[in-house]
Amino acid sequence: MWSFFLLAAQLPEGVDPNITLNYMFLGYAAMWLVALLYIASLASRQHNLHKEIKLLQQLLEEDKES
Amino acid sequence: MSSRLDRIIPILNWAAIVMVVVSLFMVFFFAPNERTMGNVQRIFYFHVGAAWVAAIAFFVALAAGVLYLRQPLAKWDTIALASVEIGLVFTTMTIVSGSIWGRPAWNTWWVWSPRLTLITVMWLVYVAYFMLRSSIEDEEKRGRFGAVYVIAAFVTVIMTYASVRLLRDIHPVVFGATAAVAQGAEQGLQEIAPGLDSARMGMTLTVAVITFSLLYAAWLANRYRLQQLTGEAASLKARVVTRLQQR
Repeated sequence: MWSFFLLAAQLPEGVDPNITLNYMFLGYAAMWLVALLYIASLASRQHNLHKEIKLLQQLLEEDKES
Repeated sequence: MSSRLDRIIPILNWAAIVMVVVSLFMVFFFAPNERTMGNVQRIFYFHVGAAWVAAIAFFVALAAGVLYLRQPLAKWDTIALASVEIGLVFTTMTIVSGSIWGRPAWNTWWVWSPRLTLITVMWLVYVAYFMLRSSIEDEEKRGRFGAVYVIAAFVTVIMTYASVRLLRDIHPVVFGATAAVAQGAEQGLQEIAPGLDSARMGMTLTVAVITFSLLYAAWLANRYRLQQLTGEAASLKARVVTRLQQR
């Protein structure tokens, strides 16, 4: 069933597979950095919009009272 | 709609967080070490997961585009917009992780092979979607043009995914691959022996794909809510302007 695990690549000759550990960590760090930046951008945009909505509602209420 | 979405969003967020932890555990402690490439092969689980979900995201955008052209409701345009944005994030994750895997595997960070060139084209085409949207002020026109664009842009997704099967490429063929299919992969092929190890790799990949799908659903819900808030802020602004003009 899992015969699709074909990896058409090999390490260059003489390279110890264990040294690839650094690349593995670098790969995961870079991927999650991209993900975290997106999450931070979503959170920041949401925070700014909530602030803006609150301010606009306040303006409308003040206008109503006056 | 928004109250239902507000209830769903925390559930999706937590489910995605739990699945990310589970799949990270499986990648690092459950999946066996690959014979030829060693630990760097573990990038493969999230690289494939991200690539798969990016394609799903662009397909959802295409479906939303078709639905918008049939019935021009703002929600279809919002789904297309959110899905393209998230698809771009997943594509970026795929490109970055693939490049880092390529360094020890191919001895270079980047090769202008058909697959890598086409994924760059795909990324740029979807970035241009935002440029198109920002250049059109009329909401309905923007939705219509955007819908047509995401439908046409999906050709780049098909080309990217078909490229390794149709063209001579250094990039591995993963799904449904056989040595014969992966022609042109001159560095040689390594098939993982069937049995426990390949089963564990398969399970890890399946969990990673489920995790990324869940992450996509969570981000889509959050992004959709964000767009609703943008609409809410715009209508409040319009009301404030009207009040000021009446003074």
